[in-house]
Amino acid sequence: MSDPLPEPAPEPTPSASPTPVPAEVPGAAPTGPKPATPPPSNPLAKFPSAVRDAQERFLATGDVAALDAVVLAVILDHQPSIAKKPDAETPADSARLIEDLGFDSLALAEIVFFLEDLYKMTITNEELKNVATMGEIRAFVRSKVGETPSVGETPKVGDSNPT
Amino acid sequence: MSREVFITGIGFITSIGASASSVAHNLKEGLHGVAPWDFCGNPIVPVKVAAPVPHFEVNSPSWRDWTWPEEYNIPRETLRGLAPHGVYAFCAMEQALRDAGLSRSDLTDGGTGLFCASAGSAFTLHHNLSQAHACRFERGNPMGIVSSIAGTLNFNLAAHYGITGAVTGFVSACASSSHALGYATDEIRLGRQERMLVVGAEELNADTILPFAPMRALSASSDPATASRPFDLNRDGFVGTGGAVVLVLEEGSVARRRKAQPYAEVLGWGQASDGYSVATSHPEGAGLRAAILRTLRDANLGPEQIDYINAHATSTPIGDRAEALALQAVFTAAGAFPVISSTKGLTGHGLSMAGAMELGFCALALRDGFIPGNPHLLEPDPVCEGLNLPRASLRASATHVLNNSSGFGGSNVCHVLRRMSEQGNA
Repeated sequence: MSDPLPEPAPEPTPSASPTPVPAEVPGAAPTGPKPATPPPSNPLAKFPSAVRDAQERFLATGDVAALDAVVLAVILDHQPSIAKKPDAETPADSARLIEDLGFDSLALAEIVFFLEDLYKMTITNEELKNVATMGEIRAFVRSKVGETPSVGETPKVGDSNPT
Repeated sequence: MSREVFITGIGFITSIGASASSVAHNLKEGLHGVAPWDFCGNPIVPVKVAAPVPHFEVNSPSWRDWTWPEEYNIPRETLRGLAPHGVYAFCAMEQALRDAGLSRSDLTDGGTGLFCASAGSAFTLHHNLSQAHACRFERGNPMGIVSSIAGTLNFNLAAHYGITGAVTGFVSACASSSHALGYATDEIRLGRQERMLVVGAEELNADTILPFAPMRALSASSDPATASRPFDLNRDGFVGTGGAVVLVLEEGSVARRRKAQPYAEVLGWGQASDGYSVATSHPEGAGLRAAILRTLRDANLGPEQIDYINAHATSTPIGDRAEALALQAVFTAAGAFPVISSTKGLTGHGLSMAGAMELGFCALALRDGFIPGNPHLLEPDPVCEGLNLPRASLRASATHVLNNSSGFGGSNVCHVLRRMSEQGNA
């Protein structure tokens, strides 16, 4: 018996992937041999370059304004899309994360985990008790990162990968 | 009279197509989805092929790196809780709902339930636990559990769609989504739900597939065109695949009232266990034979009324043999000669997803008037003597089809579908 001849299937599907999408052709080895699981990426790899630059600047110089910019980007990245307003301006310091900005407790836990991993620190529930607004979380991260010895000395970003 | 159960929508994200039309095309033409595959960068591993899912890149532990077809909009707050196979499941669900003519607002009144089947994500669990161990459990991903354990599909999909009816998951390895389909059928027959969404999904990665290698269950062939060859004398194991399939089951009067266009009617189902081995089939296929007989009784049919059987046959030496013997005991012994094929020759083996995927294929075949063949069956195993195993697909209007599934521990589950008549099976 001869092998089945691959033919273009009738409905190639579009893709959001930045890489070209192969036509839907079973048996045509669409991907070839695959690499093993890729190494963990930089947690900020998918953020705008300005955010990655700010992170580099903070790690190199300890510039807290740069740290604020990273924290703001991380917070907004975790905001549930159903609560996000398309033309939203930067939230005011007094904006409450849950009541005003639509975060749920899991999204807040995700922010904490992301920042813990980004700056190699551990944040306790006790420490979070008084963090409810944009201004409070920024101030908290400033003081917390300031007490973490490795930050600002040895850039280690990229060796972990929050999911 | 028992309530009728119709299949009114199907979503396919599979190795042989991501739409009903492409899947039907490839089943009819006998086109497989197997390709050369390197699971873990180790050339010593004797597993050289797999059946990947085109258009998806979900092999990173971070959802930020994933890509999927842009026609599917997965909101961030849903994406964060998904495993890689949850992305397949989400897209298959969207496709099935669209196919059935349903929207999210149709699913929230308590009349709709959701039964899911997957093994969970060993890949995600491993990644999260490695991270946790590295910091001695001082911190961890808050979505780690819901995105990895068995049940991740029902957790995520129920929350996303606001489903307030019966929601649970099924775990019986390669019979899982067939169990989900069976109990979903019963939910409707018993009048508990008017609509059930049934999901089967799995991942294709080293963590899900390669642990089958030490069991000697995976094919060592490097030829994508013949590695998966159920019922062939030279079969040497299964070929792994991932993806997701979603079926929408609806009670007959509900489907008629909203003028749904059913693929087929679920006429009956049954199950029986081998009670024999934790991992291998009963040598005579005893549990599967009993499950088929119970299914025929539930559907009130005799063996001679089955026109086509979608076999479970995964291309393993022991499993295919047991199924051949069970089929002979029920059908050949009764003088029945149904067409039999295992579509795993084309798709690879989808594990928990297999039952839903193959019942979806059966429904497509009934609607479109064809029967899938066994294109990789070069030399039938003599143990299959008397079984009707055509190589090419057939253009034929089957009336009743049987779908078999078997899982670890000897779980066997079967379903019978009936073709829709001009009168809508009233």
